[in-house]
Parts: sequence; structure tokens; C-alpha cells
Amino acid sequence: MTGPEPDPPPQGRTGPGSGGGRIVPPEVEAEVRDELEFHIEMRVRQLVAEGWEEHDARAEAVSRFGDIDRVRSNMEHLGRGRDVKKQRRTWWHEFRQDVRFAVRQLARAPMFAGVAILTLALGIGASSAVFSVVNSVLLRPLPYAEPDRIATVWTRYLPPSGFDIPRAPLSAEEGLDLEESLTSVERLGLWTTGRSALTGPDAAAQQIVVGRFSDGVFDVLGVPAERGRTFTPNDDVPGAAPVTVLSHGLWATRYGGDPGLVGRSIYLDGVPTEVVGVMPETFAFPASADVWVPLGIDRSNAGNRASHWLQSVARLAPGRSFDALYAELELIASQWADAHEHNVGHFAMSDPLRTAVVGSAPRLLTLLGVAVGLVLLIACANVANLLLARGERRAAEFGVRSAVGAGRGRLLRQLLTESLVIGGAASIVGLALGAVGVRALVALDPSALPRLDGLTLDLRVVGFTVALAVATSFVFGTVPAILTARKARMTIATSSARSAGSRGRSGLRRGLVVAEVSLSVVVVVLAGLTLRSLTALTGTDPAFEPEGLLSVQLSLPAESYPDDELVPAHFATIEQRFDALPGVVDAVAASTLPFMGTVGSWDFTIPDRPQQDGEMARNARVTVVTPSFFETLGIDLFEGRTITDVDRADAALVSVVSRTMAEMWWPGESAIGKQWGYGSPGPDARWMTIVGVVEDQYASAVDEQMAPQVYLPYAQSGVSAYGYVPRAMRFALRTREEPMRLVDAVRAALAEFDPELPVSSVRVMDDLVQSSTAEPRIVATTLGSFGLIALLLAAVGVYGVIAYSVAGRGREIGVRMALGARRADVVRMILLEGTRPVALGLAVGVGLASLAVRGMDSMLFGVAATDPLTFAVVPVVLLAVGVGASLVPALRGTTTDPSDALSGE
Amino acid sequence: MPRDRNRLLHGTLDTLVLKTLSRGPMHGYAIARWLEDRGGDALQIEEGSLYPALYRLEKKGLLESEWGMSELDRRAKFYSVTAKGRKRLKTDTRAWEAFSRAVSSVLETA
Repeated sequence: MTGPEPDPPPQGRTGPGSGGGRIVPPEVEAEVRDELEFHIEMRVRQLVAEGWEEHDARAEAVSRFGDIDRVRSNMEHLGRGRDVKKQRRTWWHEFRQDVRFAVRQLARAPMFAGVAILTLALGIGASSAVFSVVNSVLLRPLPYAEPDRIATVWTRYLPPSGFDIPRAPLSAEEGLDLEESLTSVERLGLWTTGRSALTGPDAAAQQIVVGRFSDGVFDVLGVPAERGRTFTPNDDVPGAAPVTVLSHGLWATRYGGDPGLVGRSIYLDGVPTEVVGVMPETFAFPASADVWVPLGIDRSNAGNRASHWLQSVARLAPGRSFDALYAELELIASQWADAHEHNVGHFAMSDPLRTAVVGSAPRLLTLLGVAVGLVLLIACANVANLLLARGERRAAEFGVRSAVGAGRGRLLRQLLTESLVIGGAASIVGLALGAVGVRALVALDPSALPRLDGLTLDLRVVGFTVALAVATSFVFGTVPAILTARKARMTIATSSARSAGSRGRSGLRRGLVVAEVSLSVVVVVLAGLTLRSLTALTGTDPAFEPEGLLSVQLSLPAESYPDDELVPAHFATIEQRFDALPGVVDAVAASTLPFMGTVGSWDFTIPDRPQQDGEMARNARVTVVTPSFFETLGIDLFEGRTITDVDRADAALVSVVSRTMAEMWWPGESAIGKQWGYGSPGPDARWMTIVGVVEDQYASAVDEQMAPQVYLPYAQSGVSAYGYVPRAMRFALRTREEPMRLVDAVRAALAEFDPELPVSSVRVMDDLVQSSTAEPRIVATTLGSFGLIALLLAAVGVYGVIAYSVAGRGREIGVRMALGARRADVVRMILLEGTRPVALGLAVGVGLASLAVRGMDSMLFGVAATDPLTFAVVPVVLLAVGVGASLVPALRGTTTDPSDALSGE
Repeated sequence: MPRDRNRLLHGTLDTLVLKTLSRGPMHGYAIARWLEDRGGDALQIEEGSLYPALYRLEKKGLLESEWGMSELDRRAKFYSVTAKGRKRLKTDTRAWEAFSRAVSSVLETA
């Protein structure tokens, strides 16, 4: 380059020490140009000094340098990279400085820091807790191969009459039909569960849950055995050698993880069964299963098409979608309806397996998520309020910093860093609070939601919490930071901490109180509604007397008790032994007990009254019971008599029916003396005469729809109901004392009867009724805590604003009191001022709440989403909280001696 | 135009620059002159590669620069070694010594 002398360098050129960060590329170009020109110039001088002609010297200098244009662009590129890096280094340096400064500032105001961090930690902790539940229940993938390709298929019975059984299992014949004809799935498996007695020479008899799987189920789920193998098609045929696959849990607890167990036999219901495999620990399908055995359906004779008892899983064929499956099922159901009378009104339905597993959890978690989001917003509003007040107090400080040259951006960064530090500290406290809270909640009843067992504080939860903390730091920090930084610059001009803008800011603070109160109304209304619903659930009469009832589940294995005829006598003996226990008033047995599920739902016929088109399905839940069942359980008898000792096997066949059954089929008349029969009417039909009408019983929870029920004498069940005598019964023992105290005596009595008899599940009926409300309980408890947090935060918010306002008006209050205003008047004035934003917030909140509760009706029991009581009480409670929170600063602000206040400024 | 010169081993220029500057701040031209004087014909540093090396070293935080007045009362950019650069020089020197010892011993025995 042979150009003229370089231009004089501009003033204020970038260099170290002038703040780094603001170098822009044009300056890099100038820097490179200047540096290179200097170099060439120096070289020319040297050459001239060595005797070169000026002109030649210049040419020589340039030529020695090499490809100067390439070097220049290379330098410019490197220079820009260098500046970016420098900028980053500076930024990081300043950030660390800001953090240190923020921590020092917060340490100097421990009250402010404590309240802000704790407030935010409540909001973040609650969010973290809800998220960890969402993570465990919804986000964690199911532990199967490609779980998003697995579907489940069931039937829905919706005949023209409108009677609806929304979700029924498949019958074996239907299942086999699907297995054969569905092209959109590559494999379909059928399964059900049962209970078996696990006996063995080496350990006590034990009742276990058995998953009965067709060989397709393991294939569909795609989980190989941890040891050994799962089932092959050869295992899954009637008459095949009995085999079983053990769960990891049973293998570990009962067999001590013995690696040699595979290949040996265990006794299931007395039958030696070879253990062919052990599943991995993560495999729990269904969740309660201890072992799996082949289903062994007879493909040539799959049984009654109307007998719905099989669940299913199906894996989509490659390239096929759920929509293809749904369409195919629709077609198949219509073909079925043409081919089989039973299938008229039956629809084949399907869902992704995940949907079936998580059940109603998504809706509940959405509700909790909305509520917790509101709580977090309230917390943000609170902290924003605190920051605004603090910003005013620090106006002078920031004014000075601004005056000595800190730019507005620099001040903003400083303030936002302070918010981040608060948010960071809150995220740590919140994570701890959330972890403790969610554990306490799950401890209430881990079965309340599916998949809660895998709840952990994993990286995703921590990441969510930290991200939330950073995001909220900006939510609550930005506006106060902008206002404070602006104020700082104005303060230089006016040199007064209290100046213009203060009025607008107190308006903003009141606005935040309005927002806080209104959001609190929504949260508390949600909490109130679910609590009311829970109260209604727990307050609903369970229709029998569960207090002081103990239930014992028993089955007599065919190996030890081969003679069917003698089974009733054995049960009678056991019943007598129970009766004889001190503390037992009476013992009865039944195929099932209230809240323990149904054991069968049967179609029935009524003599001389053929089924009409469009008529309600003639279907009833059947229970067989021993004499004095109704008396012992405390079930009301409305009409006729109960089942007694006279109803022997050889006596006339009788039944007791539920109120709904009587009203549905014999409306306006007495059902006593009427008859019904099981199955199709025919010459050999057996008719049961109704001798009594009793109160409806719940099968599992009080919020279910009542179905017709019939009760048959156990002694007649071999003839009237099953054609065989049931071997699995549930005893109910009415006790004089705490039922749990009798558990050992009950077990001892059973061991005395037969030490080999499997130890069965013994349950306190009251607990069973309680746990039927586990899910609403966990939701109400969670929302209740959120409601309390919201109330607390609202109180802190109102208190903060009023306290600040009172503190700032010490002079005015002093003047008023010096002029003779009574303290009560001043307090009333302050209260009114505090109540105004609260009242506005209440009005807005009630409006918001009435929007928020839309669609909640189906989640509530015994209370409408627009429950007037809740909507009336919640605002009153919040008003009281608001007044209370204003009262404290009002009283405190008016105790000061007026003369102090007047001489203060 | 570039002349045919002995090419320096990769990274050696950086070490030489750090060594040169360890005596005190210098501008680019002075560094070039210093290396010319010391290295003579055996170590002919291409001027065009010196400046990018300076920028690279500054980007790495091994050097820092400041504009100041040169001996002839002209504005010039002076480079100096940072603490990090001093540390690097030490390790580079040691590595170089080990390397050259090894090469020498091979050459002498062969």
C-alpha cells in the first residue's frame, strides 16, 4: 500500500479501559488499516535510512509484506472474533460483579430478601411438585417397546334404548375374531387377571395376583424376560403343560432372587407349574400382577360370545395409524352386528394404551396445572410489588450510580440480576418444598393416580424448576427494573426521592393487588369446589355400615377340597369358627362385598315379558350371599324378607333384588313374588322368586351410576346361578372392637381350619370405603393447599402495599392526628383505602372464576361448578383477609407520636 | 509478492512472538525487526503472517494491546504479554526444548 499519510486517528478510539463491549466492526477495520500503515511507514523509513529512494523503498516495503489484502481481511476477521470474545468476557465479568453486588444488597435487606424468596419459593415449589407428578404420570414413556404404537381395544354397549356400558372387555370369541381379521395391527394379545393360591413346601401359602396372558401379549408389549423366556404359542393352548413367568418382585421377595428357580416348579392353586422366566423389574402389566400364566383359550370353542371378560393390547402394523385401526374396528363391529344377535348395539372401540393407562389423570393434572400457574402468578405479582417499593426506597442510591455514569442499560441489568438472584434462591428452596410436598401428597395414597410409583426428582424436574425460576425472574423483575432505572435518572434532575411518577407507581402497585386478589379468588374457588365435592363424596351414605367390618378373601383349592358338594359345608365351618371368635358379632360370606367390585353382570329374562325393541338391556349384577348377609352388613330392607337359613339348596329358588332393579322392572307395583330367570327363557329355565327388596349397593365408589342388582342364596347358587358352587368367597366379620385387632385371630382361626389355606387379603371395610375417594382426596388436598398459599400471598401483598403507603404518609397521618383526628378515624381511612383494590379484585376474580370452572362439572360430585355457596363464601374470606392485612399496618402506622412524624422530614 | 522462505514449524511463530514480547511492550514493526535481527536468514518471518498471529494471540487472551506513542511520535499499537501468555510461553519453551533435544539426539546418532 503506497497511500498518503494515514488520517489523524479519531478521538476516543476504542482501546482497553474504555469499557470494551462497544467496539463495532468499522473500528476493527480502522484499527487494522492504521496498524498496517504504521508498519509500512516504519519499513519505508528504515529503507530510506539504508539509502533507498523513497519511491523504491515504498514499493519494496509493500512487496516484503506479502499479500497485504489477504492479510488485512484475515486480521479483520480475527479482530472481530477477538472483540466478540472480549465482549463476552466483559459481560461475564460484569454479570459476576452484579451477582456479588446483588447478593450483598439482599443480605443487607434480609426482611425483603426473605419475604421475596419465600413467596416465590411457594409458587415455584408448588409448580415443581405438580410438574414432577406430570412428569411421572404423563411424560415418562411406558416401559414397553415403541409404546406409542400399542393400542387397547374394548367394546361399548350402546343399544338404541340408550342404556350405556361405555367400556366392556371383549369376549373370547370377539378377541379371536379381532386377532384374525385386523390388518392394521401386526399382533394382538388378550389378557385378564385373577387370583391364585401360591403354595409351596418352602414358604407359607400366599394369595397372589395372576396375569393370564395369551402368548401375543408379551410380543405386543415387546419386553423380553430378564431370565428364561416368556410364552410361546405352544404354551397358550388348552391342555399344555402348565408354565408361569414370575414378576421380578415375587422372584426377589419369595425366592430370594434364586437364579436356579427358572426350570423348577412352583405350586399355583396346588398345580405344579414350571417357572419358565422372570420379567425385569420395570415390567408391571397389569401393575398388581405377581405372576403370569398362559390364557389357554380353546380356539375351537371359545365360549359364550356374550361373556365379556378379556382385556386386549395390540401393536399397530408398520405404516398403519391409529385412525386406520379405528376405521377398521368400526367396519368390523358392523359386520359383527349383522352376524351375531349379541353384537347388535355393541361397538368396538380403541385407544392408545397410554390413554388407557393414564385414565383421567390428564384432566386432573390440567386442573392442578392451571391452579398452580395462578399461584405462581400471584407470587410474581407479590414480588413485583416488593421490588417496586424497594426501588423507590433505593431511588437515591440508583440516582447516584446513574450520576457517576452508569447507563440505563447497566442499571437495568443490575436490577434484573437482583431478580435472578432472588429467583435462583427461590428455585432451590422451591425444589426442596416441592419435593417434600409431593412426597407428603403421594403418601396419602399412592394409588390415587396411575404411575405415581415412579415419582422421582429427576433432571427434567430440576431443569423445569430452574427454567421456571429464570422465566419468573423476568416476569416479576422487568417492570420494576424499568421503572426504577427510569426513576434513577429523573432523580438526578429533581434530586428528590419522592417525585413525579410516584403516583403512577402506587397505582401500579394497587393494580397488582387487584390482580393478586382476583387470581386468588379463582384458586380458592377451585379449591372450594373440590373440597365441597370431596365432602359430598365422603358424606354420602355408603348404603351399608362399614365401621367395624373386617373382610377376608378366601378360596378353597380344588386339590385339597376336590368334592364340590362339600364346599358349602367347608365354608359353613369357617363361618362358624369366625363366629366363635371373641369380638366377632357375626360373620357372613358373599361372592363380593360393597366397594370390592363386581363379580359378574348377567343378562336375565322375565317370564311372559319378552324383550321389546329399544328396551333397556335386562342386565343385573349378581352376588351370592349366605344367610343374615344384609343384617350383618347393615343394608336396609325395604320390603319382604332377607335371605335366611330356610333358603337351602332343595328349597324353592329365591332372590333378593335391589331397589333400582325393582323400580326399573316393576315400577308402581311390588316386586315381591315376581320372578326372573338367568339366560334365555326355555323349558328348562329356572325362575327365581323375589322375596325381598334392599337398598342399592355401590360396586366401587359412591359417584358411580346405580345398576340393578340381584342377590342369590349361596346354598342355591349351584342350581340357581352358576351351575357350580363358587370356591372363592369374601367373608365379612362384624366386630365389637377395632377390626384391625382381630386380624391375627382371624388368621389363626384359618390356620386351625387348614394350615395350607392361602393367607388371603384381610381388609378393614372402612378403609376400603375411604380409599374409594383417594383420587378426589388427593386433588382436593392439593388444591386446598394451593388455596391456602394463594390466601397467604394475597394477604402478604395487601399488607405490603398498605404498609408502604402508611409508611410514606407518616407526615400526613401525623398532621391529621395533630389536628385532632381520632385514631379510629385514621385507621378507618387507611382500611378503606386498602379495601378498595381488594374489592375490585374480588369482582374481577368472581368473573374469572366463573369462566375457569366451566367444564368442571364432570369432575365434581354433589356440587355444581357454579356452586352459589362457594362463590359467596370465597369473596367474603378474601375480603376478611384483605381487611386483616390492612389492619396491621394501619394500627402500627397510627401509634407513632404525631410530633415524631412531623419532625421526621 | 511472497518470496520463497523457510516455513516455520506450526505454532513456533506464536512462541517466538511471546518470547519477544516478554521483554516488554512492543509494536508490530518492532517485533518484526527484533525477529529479523535475532533469527537472521535462518528464521525469516513473513511479515504477512506476523500480524494475524498477533491478533490470534490476542483473541486467545495471551496478549493484550494498547495504542500509544511510538519513538517517532507516531501512534502505534503496542502489544504486551498477559499472565496467561507468560504461562503459555513457559510450557511452549519447555516443549520446544524437549523436542529439539530429541531431534538432535536422533540426528547425532544416525
